[in-house]
Amino acid sequence: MLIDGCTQGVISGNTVNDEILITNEADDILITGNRAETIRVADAVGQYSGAVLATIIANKAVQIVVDNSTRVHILDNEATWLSAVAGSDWCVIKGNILPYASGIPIWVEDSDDVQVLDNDVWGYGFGSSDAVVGVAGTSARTRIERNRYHGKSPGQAGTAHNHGVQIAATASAPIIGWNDWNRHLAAGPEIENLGSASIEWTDVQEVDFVHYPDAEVAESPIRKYFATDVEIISVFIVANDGPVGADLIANLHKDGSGTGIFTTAPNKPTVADGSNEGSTTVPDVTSVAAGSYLKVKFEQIGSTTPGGAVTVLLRYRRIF
Amino acid sequence: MSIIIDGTDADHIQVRNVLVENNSSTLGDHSIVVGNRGEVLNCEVDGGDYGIAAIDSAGESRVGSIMIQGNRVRNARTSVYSEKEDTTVSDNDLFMEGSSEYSVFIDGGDRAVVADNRIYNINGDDAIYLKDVTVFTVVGNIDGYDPGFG
Repeated sequence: MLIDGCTQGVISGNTVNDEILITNEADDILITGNRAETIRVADAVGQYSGAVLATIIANKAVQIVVDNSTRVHILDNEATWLSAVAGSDWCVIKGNILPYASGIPIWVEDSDDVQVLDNDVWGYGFGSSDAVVGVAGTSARTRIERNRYHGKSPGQAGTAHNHGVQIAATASAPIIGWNDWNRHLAAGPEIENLGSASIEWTDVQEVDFVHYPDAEVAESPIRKYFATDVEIISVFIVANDGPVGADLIANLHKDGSGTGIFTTAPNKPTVADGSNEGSTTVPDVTSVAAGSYLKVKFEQIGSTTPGGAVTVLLRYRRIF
Repeated sequence: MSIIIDGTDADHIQVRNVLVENNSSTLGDHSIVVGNRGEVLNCEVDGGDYGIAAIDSAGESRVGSIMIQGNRVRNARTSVYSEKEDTTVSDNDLFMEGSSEYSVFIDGGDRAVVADNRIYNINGDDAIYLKDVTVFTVVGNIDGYDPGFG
């Protein structure tokens, strides 16, 4: 089925052997309840813009492709491959079921501000870099939240996917929240960041370790327990009464260990001599398992006057 | 036998219960043609460049309201074609195989409805092709269904 340059249409309840193709500046199209090999909203001719404002909802197809088309919503479909590519900005891929996915089944390439939300995926990867969601090309600000990966479908060969998200070296600023896929991934890590894209985490939680008296070279008595596995995002330290004569340096110790999670000296949370605000750093050890706890230990407190009323702010996110 | 119903220049023609058999599929050799406000109902068509067409009428190519309903068309190059401003194609059995083109081709117009057709289009172009239609509904069609022409 070819819908070429049309506007304000409904495509519903059709059974199509091959493809439903919406192209050439098609505008305001609803595609729902169809069965097709492929549903494609695209710039197929190569000289016009693709579609805008299309909604693809509750269809069954092998693949659903948005190509050079903006503001397309792919909602509540069943498919094995979903993609937004080549300038498909502001698209939403939400609530879909992918029961027999393989390779990288949700693919965002060269498209900005695409949201990948609440999808359920069963399937297997072919290779060590296969992820549930791929962010490729120059895609920016891809938001990935609340997706679930259930491992292989019953009877499927191969191995489970290795990663939740693969971020290409050329992609930037992905926004990633809580996704339930770690427990079924074959290898990991959860995020395969092939470059140095700075990830904005949306499910970050915070806890303050507050130490009111003057700091002592000792462990703080306060324990922070974690009910789930977590990843430490950053640690920030501040002293209302700044140390004098030397820096105030802290560390975080896990489960009473004698070694802190900061093993590299320059990374340790530090309030410089004569200052109040300290540094924000990422620890060398970022993972803390469910049931473990952290305590602050002051390794150095100042010489002439110790730092006092110290707060260590821990930012972390849950991992399931 | 080759029969052509040519109502191209008719302002209002209704073609009902007509049998067109063994028409050729030469370009321009259409089986049933209607002009403005044409209706083609319950006909059986075998062959034709267009099996059923609503095409140019006295230079008013977009004028007209067309209803093509309940027909059985087989082995035309394009089963149903319309270039009118308001076209409805519904409940037809459209069978084509070999070097065929479209089962339903609507070329322009303000409104088009393509509904509940049973289509068998093997080795042809797209079963349903809408080009530059302003408002359209394509609902309940089945492509790949063999309507059982003997």
